[in-house]
Amino acid sequence: MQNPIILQMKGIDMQFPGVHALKEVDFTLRAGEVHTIMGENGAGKSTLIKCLTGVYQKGKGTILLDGKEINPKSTLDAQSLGISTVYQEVNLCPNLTVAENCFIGRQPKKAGFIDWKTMNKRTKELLKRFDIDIDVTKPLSTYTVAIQQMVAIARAIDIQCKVLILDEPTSSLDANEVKQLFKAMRSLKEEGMAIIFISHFLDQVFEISDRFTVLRNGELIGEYLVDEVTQYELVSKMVGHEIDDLSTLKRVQHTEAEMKEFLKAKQIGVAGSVQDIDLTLRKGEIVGFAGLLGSGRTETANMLFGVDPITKGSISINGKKVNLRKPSNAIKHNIAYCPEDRKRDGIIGDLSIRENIILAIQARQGIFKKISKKKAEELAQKYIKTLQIATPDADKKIGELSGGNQQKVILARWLATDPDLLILDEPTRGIDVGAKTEIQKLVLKLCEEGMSIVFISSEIEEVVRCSNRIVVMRDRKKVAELKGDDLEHDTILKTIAGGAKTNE
Amino acid sequence: MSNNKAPANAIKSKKKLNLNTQFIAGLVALALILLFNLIYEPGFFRISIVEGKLYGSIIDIINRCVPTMIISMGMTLVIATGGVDISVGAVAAISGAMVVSLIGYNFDSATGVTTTNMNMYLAILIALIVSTICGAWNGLLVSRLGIQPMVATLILMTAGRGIAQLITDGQIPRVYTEDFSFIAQGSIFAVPTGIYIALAVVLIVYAFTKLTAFGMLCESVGINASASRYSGINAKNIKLICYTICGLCAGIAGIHIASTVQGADANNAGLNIEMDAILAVVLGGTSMAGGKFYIWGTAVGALIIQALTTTIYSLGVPPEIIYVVKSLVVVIVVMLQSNLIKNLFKKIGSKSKKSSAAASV
Amino acid sequence: MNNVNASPLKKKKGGNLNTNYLVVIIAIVILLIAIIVGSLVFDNFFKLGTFTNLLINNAHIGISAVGMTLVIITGGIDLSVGAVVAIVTMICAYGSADPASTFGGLGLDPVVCMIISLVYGILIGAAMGCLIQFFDFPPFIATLAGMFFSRGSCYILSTQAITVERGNLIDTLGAWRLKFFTPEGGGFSVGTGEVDGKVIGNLSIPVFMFIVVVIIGILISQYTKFGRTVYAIGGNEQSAYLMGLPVKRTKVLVYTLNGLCSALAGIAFTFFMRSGSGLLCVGMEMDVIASVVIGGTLLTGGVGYVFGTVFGVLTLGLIQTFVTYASLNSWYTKIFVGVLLLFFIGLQRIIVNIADSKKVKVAG
Repeated sequence: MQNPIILQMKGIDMQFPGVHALKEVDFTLRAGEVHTIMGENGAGKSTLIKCLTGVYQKGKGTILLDGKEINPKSTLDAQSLGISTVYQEVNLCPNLTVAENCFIGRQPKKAGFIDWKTMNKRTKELLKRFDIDIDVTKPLSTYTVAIQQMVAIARAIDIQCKVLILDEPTSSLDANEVKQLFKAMRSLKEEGMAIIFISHFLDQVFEISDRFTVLRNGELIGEYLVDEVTQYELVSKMVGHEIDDLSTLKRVQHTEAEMKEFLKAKQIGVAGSVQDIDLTLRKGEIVGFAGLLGSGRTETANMLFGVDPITKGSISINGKKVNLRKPSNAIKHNIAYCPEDRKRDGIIGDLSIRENIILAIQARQGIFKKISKKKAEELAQKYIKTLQIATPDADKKIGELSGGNQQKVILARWLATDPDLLILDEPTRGIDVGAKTEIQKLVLKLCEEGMSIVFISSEIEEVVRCSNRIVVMRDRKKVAELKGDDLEHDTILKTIAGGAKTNE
Repeated sequence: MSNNKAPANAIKSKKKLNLNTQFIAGLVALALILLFNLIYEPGFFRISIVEGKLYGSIIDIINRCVPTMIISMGMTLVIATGGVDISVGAVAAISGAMVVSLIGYNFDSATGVTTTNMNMYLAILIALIVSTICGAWNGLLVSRLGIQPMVATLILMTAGRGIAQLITDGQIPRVYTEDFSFIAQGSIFAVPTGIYIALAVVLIVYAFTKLTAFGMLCESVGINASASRYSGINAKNIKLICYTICGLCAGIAGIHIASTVQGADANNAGLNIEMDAILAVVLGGTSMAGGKFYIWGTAVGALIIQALTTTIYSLGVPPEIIYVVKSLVVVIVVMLQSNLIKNLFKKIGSKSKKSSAAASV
Repeated sequence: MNNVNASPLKKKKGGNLNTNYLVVIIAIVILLIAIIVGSLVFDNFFKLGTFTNLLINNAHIGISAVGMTLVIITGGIDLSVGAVVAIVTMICAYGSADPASTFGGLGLDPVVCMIISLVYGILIGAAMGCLIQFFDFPPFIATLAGMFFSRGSCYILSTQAITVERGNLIDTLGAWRLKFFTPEGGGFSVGTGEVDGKVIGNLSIPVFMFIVVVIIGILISQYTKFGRTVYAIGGNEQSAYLMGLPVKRTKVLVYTLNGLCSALAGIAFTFFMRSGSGLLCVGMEMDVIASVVIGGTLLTGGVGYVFGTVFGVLTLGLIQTFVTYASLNSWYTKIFVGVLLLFFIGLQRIIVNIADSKKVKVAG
């Protein structure tokens, strides 16, 4: 049975400076179905959604809603056309009551003043559709994220929406809450609502979706019905096989004797996040973290670096138990960390390349032992040269560099500290292939020199190519540790997809 | 060797071109004000020496802006970390009250003998320690308890003058010793002592930020607190130090003010000086949002404010009208910094570039 | 692109309803405790006159605090109120003074002066709002400019302190009192003008202005779209915008409204002082902000009640009354206010932290 088409996006093309984000992508949404858009980071999911919701103005292509061409200019514009979005970060006001969040901007009135009674009553009725019976006069912030999302959905539906976009709604929900949300989604589906769903959790995606559209590198890979594909196939479609221009790279394999244990983590975890991770990191070894986004890779790295101090378990370095409460503790123990979100956690935009490079050593040395201008310039020149950072001089602001060069500067910042353990979270994301290869080569070289390295990446090819050992994460748990012969693309994919359990 | 030198030179020459435009704008504004004065009163730049001391309008401007300049140095650091300190006026009042009360000047009119309770230098030291503690208090509220800077410093701003009055017991105690007057009113090599103090504070703060890594770390915290944390910077301590220095600066300014009036007026000493100091910082090109800061820019900003005031005085209009002029200057300067105007300029710039390119073709 | 890897322990602004009310309730409790303690410690304290005087002396602060509450709920601040009050006293006093008098003066009708005052308040408020909204001025700087401008403009009118002449409408209105008195034979009565009996308390026009402004303030903040948008902006400006609320217009309006409140406070203060001067109300903005904070409004925005602000104003006024009754020196007022501020800011901080930690558990 084919439901009527509600929304059609044809040949959507988007270019940003230096990136071709969407390459003539088509997307079709039918009434009464949950349609999931799948793809790893940078695949173009967000860009596609943003074109639809008016955050970006699409470059080329047409969007048809109910057969009529639309050109949403802003989120508000899209909303008035009947396209509502509910984000993971609930876009409501936590300080207002539940009822108010449903009706603000269109409150019922009596004698010119807001009629709170009617508003509360109508909200109660509205939420009843989702089997939610709560005190609607309490502020939204008193309720769980799941309920907040439900309220957001209720608001969206009450404003006559035709297309409901749920962007990563389940990332911060527990199993029960997810069930609750899915129940609501199903009842909406039965009423003929068209829902676009975005999520990284494979099990959930398979549970709720009717149809998938897979994107990779801004290209449409295909549209599939839920019965047509297995989890394994879907993951391999998302991840794909990169053109193998890196075949010259050789994994370094030190002998067991050479690989002295550096860090050992026992059953570490943070309340409300990742749990019970066991991990041993050795010198001269690259440990890859594989897993989809949100699987707990970054959370684990954050624990090792003291960004999110562990609330459970213990970490010991060189056999001695250590207490990593903040990054500066970790740095004192010769740990270095290139965080995933370069812009937010990495670069100091208005400072020069030189200052960005010496920042971590300077922080370690303290305020008074200033690194002399000469030394700083030497360091900067050294790393500009060895890492081939494209800049006329070290005085340029890091904010003015391209993504790949920014990443190299951050790498330089940490290499300058001469670390024993280097944690790299998505070091090659959003940078061009050339720079990518350089960074991978560098990682291998560092390992050869005896550094212990944690390599986190969404690209399995990359992880496989570099790592001696791979830790596979799934749903905030470590599900496997693969070594030697197991380091095969397929094995990892299966482990990530929960292959052992699924209908292989 | 020659290869190595060439790029170094290139960097240097580029740096000269890269001088902060805000700083230059400040200098130009200052020059314009002075030029206006010169035209209005040709003797404006005349400097004479009376009784071994320099006199003249220029000297007067510099001398009068000493307290503002001292405080604005500490304020620059606080603002660089993305904060603000509105308690500096009250802290200056506390410091002034402290030093004057401690010295405890007494003049027996019958015998003509003057006595003091405490050595002046010890009194100054204690006053400075107290004001440093005031600054540290603000710093603790901001960095450890995470209270918004304005709110945190509002507490001391409100209570501070009360404390100052408590110290002076609601009186305006006086100190007429020559030593104490010398702090603000004396002269060394004909130059008023206050100017030495201001210059010393500016130089010390400048040296502290440039010779140590403190300046860079402050900027780093102000630009991107999260990334700074990931780089191992202890942002809390950096903020604490900034507020503490700001308190110390306010203390120095308070002593200078007390010496100028030879007494401590807890109600009026340093009144509204926090506003002037913030204004000086913003005029100097440091953004209220934090980040890059300009010590010399702030110094010029403080001079601009005082030059404006002096100009208004010399025009013979009611001096309080300076407020109106200040408000207009703030609006113009901050507006020039705002994105809307910047983008507008960019558009005009690119258009004129295009048109000139078209013309050249 | 999607920020999934962000720590799941998301920080939340604002507490829940109970904690929101809690701060207001604490303000009320503290006021009550203060009254009880006052009554026990000081003879002659617990009587009608004490409370009517409290209202008369603080009416202008209260009027201004209502507008400030709304500004602070949006997450902003307004430093210009004291200066606007000062210029309004000048517009009223100087404007209505006889040109032939010792001060000069403009000889305008007092009603015209009051209208000009209100227009000035609206215009300066709107101007500051526009600077904040359209030119990205930090509210601190924009309203600082407004403060300088207003304060300086006082002296453009006159540098003197102008006393309102007897018989002038402002003088008449300012002197008017609603009197509560005990008639000769005992009992209780209310009247105006000359009354026969012992006056035990009285109310001035500014007090009634205060009451009306509070009622209007509560209505606006709780029962109009504008008022609720103010709260939404304070809760999450980005969300408010995405929910289709007129964020820009509301932000400009809230400063405009506060300008109007400042002007009204200025008129009330002119009635109270029956004189005008550019030196009046220096630092009044800090008293106003302090009363708003003590009344339970979070300076981070989003949470607060006009109703609570009333208690903040009264608590602040009561401290002054205490200091007078205890014949303490006036500076103790400032120290007490500072301590009270510290207490309330600390309290709010703790409440927000508790609300946050609760949230973490729920989310986890």
